[in-house]
Amino acid sequence: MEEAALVRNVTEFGDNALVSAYLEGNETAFEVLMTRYQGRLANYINGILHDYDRSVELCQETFIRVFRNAHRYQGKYQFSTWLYRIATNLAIDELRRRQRKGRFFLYNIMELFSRDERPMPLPDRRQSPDLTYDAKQQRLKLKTAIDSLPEKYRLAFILKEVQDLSYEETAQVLNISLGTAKSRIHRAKLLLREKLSDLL
Amino acid sequence: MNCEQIHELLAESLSWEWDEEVMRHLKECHECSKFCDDLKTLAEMTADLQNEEPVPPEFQNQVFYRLSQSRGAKKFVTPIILILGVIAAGSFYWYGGDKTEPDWAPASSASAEVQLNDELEGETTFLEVEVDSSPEGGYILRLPSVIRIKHSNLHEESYITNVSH
Repeated sequence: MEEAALVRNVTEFGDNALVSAYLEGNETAFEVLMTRYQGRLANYINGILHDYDRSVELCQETFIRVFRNAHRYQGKYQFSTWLYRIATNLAIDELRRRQRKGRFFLYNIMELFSRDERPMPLPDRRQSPDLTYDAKQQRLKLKTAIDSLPEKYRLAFILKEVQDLSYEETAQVLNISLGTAKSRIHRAKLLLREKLSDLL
Repeated sequence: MNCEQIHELLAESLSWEWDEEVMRHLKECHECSKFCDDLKTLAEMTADLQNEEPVPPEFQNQVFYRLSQSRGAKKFVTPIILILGVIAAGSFYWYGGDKTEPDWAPASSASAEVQLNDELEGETTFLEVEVDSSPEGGYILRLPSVIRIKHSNLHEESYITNVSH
């Protein structure tokens, strides 16, 4: 009973308190942090890489780095900002590595042939079956449009609009100024508006 | 307020309380009104992307497994560092202490090879050597289980902060 109460209490902790609890030897705090962020983070990385299995691996790597370096976390930024920053760097490194190695996945090959109008929709494992055909098409078009954005706009847009981070957090994750973050997100919206003009 | 300023305000946030001037502009300016509607639709569509696909059920177990693996590998760190230290000291003596080099010596580099024991090799094909200890900027080199190190300033600048597998 006591253990169950402890777990229940820990789940109510804020992120910083959970990190402190973990540093004091409470591994449950670690699990709670993972449970809190694992889905969001894996989907965030997948939004960049479009490789779900690799995204899950990188999400795990993110947590491993966080846990190994938890003693260095000083609460200067929010915990989520730190987490997203590590994940973003890992995802970007992965993209660079793929570019260097010339590993073109089907997705990238299609992108080469048609940057803005991909002729064939890729199967999307994330779509729930109850979505209508039109909703699926609309979602696919949106994702395609987001993917076609230049990287700096895409990352800022995904963090702010899809992951629902604040402008300040987005700027901190990307290590850019607040003004630059706002400008990139603004630019991303303008580009998306152009690309999705048939839907809007 | 001109259209450009209105666009900037709208792009920054659609949820704030607009003052009368903005509202009046939106009523009178078809272009800005359309821009506002487009951004609202875009925000609604984007919110739909937040639906998450759950991670695999074994996700957390795999994290703990990988962590335990790296902890297990830590016992190899000290011997490896000791070996590297001996090699570094040797190369320092070679280049710094004794200036007379034998004819067969390499011109400007020292090298080392570290072979891990069979126990570790049996479990993994690669070692991960964390070159930079910074959590945000650090990167990990995946190396074969035999590490060969060749560096001209091995004794001065080269160090390995973490080795895991």
